[in-house]
Amino acid sequence: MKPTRRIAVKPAAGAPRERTNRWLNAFTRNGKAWMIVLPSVLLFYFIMWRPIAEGVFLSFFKLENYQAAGFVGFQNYREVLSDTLFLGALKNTFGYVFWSLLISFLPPIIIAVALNEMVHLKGLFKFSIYFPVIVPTVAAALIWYFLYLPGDGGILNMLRHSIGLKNSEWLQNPILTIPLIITSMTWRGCGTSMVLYLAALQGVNQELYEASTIDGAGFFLKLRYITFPHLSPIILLLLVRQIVGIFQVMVEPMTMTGGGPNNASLSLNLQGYNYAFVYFQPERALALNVITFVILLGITVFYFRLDKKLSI
Amino acid sequence: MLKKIAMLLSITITLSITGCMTNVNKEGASGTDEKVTISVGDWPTENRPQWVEQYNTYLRNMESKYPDIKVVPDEWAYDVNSFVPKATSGQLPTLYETFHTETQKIINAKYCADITDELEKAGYLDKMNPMLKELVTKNGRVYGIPKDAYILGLTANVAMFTEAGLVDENGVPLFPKTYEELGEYASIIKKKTGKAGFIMPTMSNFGGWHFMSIAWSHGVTFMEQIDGKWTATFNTSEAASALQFIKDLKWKYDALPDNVLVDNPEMLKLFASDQGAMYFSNPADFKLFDTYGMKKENFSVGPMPEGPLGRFTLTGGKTYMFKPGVAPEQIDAALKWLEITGESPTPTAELLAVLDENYKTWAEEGQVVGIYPQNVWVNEEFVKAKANVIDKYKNIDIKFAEQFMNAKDVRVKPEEPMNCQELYKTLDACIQAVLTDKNADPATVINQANSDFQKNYLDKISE
Amino acid sequence: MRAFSEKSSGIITSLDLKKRHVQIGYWCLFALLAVISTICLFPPLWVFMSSFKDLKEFLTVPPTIIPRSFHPEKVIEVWKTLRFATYYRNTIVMAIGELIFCIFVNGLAGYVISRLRPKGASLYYKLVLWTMMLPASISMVPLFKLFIDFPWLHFSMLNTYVPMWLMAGANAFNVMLFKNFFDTIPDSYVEAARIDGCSDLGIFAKIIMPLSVPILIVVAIFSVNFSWEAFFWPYLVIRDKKLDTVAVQLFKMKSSGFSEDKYMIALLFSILPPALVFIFFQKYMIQGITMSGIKG
Repeated sequence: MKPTRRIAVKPAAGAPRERTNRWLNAFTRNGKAWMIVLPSVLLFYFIMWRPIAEGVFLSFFKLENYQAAGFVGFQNYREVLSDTLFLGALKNTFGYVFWSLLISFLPPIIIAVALNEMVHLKGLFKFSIYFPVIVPTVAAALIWYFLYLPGDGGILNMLRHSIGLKNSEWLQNPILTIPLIITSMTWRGCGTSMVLYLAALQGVNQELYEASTIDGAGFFLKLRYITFPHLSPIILLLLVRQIVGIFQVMVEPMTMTGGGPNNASLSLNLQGYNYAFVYFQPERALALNVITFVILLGITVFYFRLDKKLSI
Repeated sequence: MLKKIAMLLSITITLSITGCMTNVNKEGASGTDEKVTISVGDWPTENRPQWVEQYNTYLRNMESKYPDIKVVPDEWAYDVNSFVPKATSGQLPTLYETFHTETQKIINAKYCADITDELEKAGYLDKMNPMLKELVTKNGRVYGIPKDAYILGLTANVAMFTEAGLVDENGVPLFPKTYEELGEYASIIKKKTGKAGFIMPTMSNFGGWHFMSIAWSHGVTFMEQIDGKWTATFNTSEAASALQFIKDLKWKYDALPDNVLVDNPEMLKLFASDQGAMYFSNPADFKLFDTYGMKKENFSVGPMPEGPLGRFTLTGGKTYMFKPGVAPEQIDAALKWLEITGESPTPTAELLAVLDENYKTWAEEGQVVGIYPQNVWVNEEFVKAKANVIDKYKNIDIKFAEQFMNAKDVRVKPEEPMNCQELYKTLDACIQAVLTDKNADPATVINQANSDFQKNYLDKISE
Repeated sequence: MRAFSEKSSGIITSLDLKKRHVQIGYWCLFALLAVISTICLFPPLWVFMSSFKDLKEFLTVPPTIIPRSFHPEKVIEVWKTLRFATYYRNTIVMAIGELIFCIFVNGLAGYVISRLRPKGASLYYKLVLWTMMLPASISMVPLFKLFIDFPWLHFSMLNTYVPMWLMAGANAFNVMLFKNFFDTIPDSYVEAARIDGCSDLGIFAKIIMPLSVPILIVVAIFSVNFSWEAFFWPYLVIRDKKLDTVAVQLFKMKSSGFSEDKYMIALLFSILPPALVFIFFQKYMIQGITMSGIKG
């Protein structure tokens, strides 16, 4: 147990006898706590850290049958960075994050708050809004295929006709590709966040609402001073997760556009997938993954710095 | 804090490195008993009941003829997502199937076994179609056995051609002779029927693959070895005019489907559901059309159109490969299995009986039977025997395939030597660029692709 | 409006609802939710309903919004080809295992990080969170090798559901959810129990868990939902056909030529169980508040 050993080295204050007792107490308390978390430590070690470390390690090698076959330093990294598609993919990935913050961040919060107010059909609404989460990826892909189909076959184009508009190219318009992919992801992901916000809303002390109602506070005042502070930790949590998740977007562009048209929706992870699974160059995929990780880490560190400054 | 993190990270990394170094213990060549065990991939699933039945028959025949070989069915079929993890961890079936387009890539990555010696011993090498052997050969060593092969033809929907008035006196579609004619016909069909005249794939490397035959016939060479260095050479007017043809299909002839992001399943679906009149395809793969309710009477196939430099086409099909590290006796056992399934070159009475059954099953399943495929084994007795069986179970009116089978001036070109898949991907993007942007200049697009391909791939070849 | 006077949760109280303009506001929200629900529910229902059309109609351009043909016999045909019963059972076994690992391993980790905070816990938490930032593909092959041949102990987990269970136990997002939720439980509850002589694990089981019903249900819903759709790892790990899960079987069917309409019917079968689970559990989510006693 590394952590407990570290405690032993630390000098504690107080009289010698007292010190020993405290040391013992701390040792047993920490030890017990680590015993409880041990399964999690072991699983994270074997399932996550160890394979990840192996992947990072191998990104500095030339690989043969996924075994290290010669140290090449940063060569894989240089090759990935000098790929003419890299900059485009990087730009697109930030584009995904930007559009996702714009399109998919607020809806689940609004829906959860509204849903929490319902006395009519609450169950039905909740089921309907969660339903897209249950729909399997393949079915969702087909649904969006029908919706976004260009020409007269598309459902959305049918709707445009009915209000007198012309056909749109939808996904095939390079400017619209990313926002439209994000829209479909919002449709599918909204229910997940909504359920989490809803669970958090269950924790609001109802008496606060009642008391402030008697004091004459209106809806938005209560939303601002009671609901919002209660939700802010989970909002923060989901915001970080959203950025981290969208930064790794891959399956949706892969199934909807294959990264097209003309690489307009190619993301970093999709490029990594192509390296590893289509071109059989896993070393480059690993290097690209590490680069993605470093960028993400940079964003989060920056974010937490900013967050600290703002909150002080 | 950072120090602690660094320390923990280094511990984790050291631990895992020691882990990496200890090699995964090699799987034994055979089981504990005397039997040689092989697993066979691509075992049919329940939705092809006739083939499940047929494979079970093979299994019984194998057991009675070679009781010391144990065959384990494996439903795993080649798919991009799981191939690398399976291959790198030694979990591939002993005998697996893949596509012709993947073989060179697999050989380079060493995800298959060298079977030259075993094939030599069995006397198979000189019976193998040289063109197909090329696909599975590297530096004189052979790494696979082609299972089947076809060349791309121009498949046409008879009903739609009839509706557009583009049939001869026998009701056979007038197959366009040149690419210009293809565009014009496609345009006529679009005007007469309202459906796409031609389907061009644009995604998942299929666009680039189909573009090959168009480009070759326009006189494009994609790469050359200049002073020992591979150089991309498709920044030419020929390549630009080939791409211009694709662009014209959309903007001049207006003959393509509305959806221009088309992958292989989408292409098949469009054709099989009467939403497109022509596309380049494997002439014998009818099962998929059938899934979408297309009638065999609507199927016809002609030769590829002609470009300034002639007619060119590609081969496709499946290839058997072996899991890396298999024992010689396992390879021998697998060759015996192929004898049982009717895929070895010696036409014994037994083999002929199996071939007969196989084609009967194809026909029962609703496949098109009647077009001679590219033969894997070219020893004359085998070719003859196979042709007889095909004629026996022929289930189409042969006039709809005659022109395809009799075309003598079609040149089959092997794939480009380096980074094929990357080239296809690059060309996919070019095709999408000219199909989604009316103002895109094909010459600019193709020149850019040429320099990207050079920089991203050819410059990085380390051999 | 009897329903309004019974309203016991939310920003708008029953007192507010006596006012006319608040009532209008309420119905506006109602209308908003009705629109959103339709957007969420209608497209998939349309596609699933379309699969009962005949194939020609399923593929016509432009598509028909109201079906002209109806072929319920397709359902029976698909059911027969797929033999769902075994695959349902297998998926349930896998899902239950994942659920147990997911709740106990991640829950205990969240508990220790949030409540017991031993030395090094915050570092541990950071390392856990970092795993979310790495694309899964970086560790895919090393992880698969680990399942085939476990380091030092040399056993294989192929052909079992254990790898999927283990992976459910190392889910950073769930640890984060638990930790965050446990943070909001007032210290007084825990202290009271400690004075009563409860052990750390006792507190987790008797105090923390019952107070965390909403988050437990959310995590359970996510977990079941995830197991039901996961095909990649089961597809790699399971080699015996008898152990295949629903998602794996669907994938195999897809790649061996199944027309889209029939495939949609198969998918409809596959989503029924998670849909039922959701309907069943969401009731408890609303009750969670009364059970949890956070009110005080």
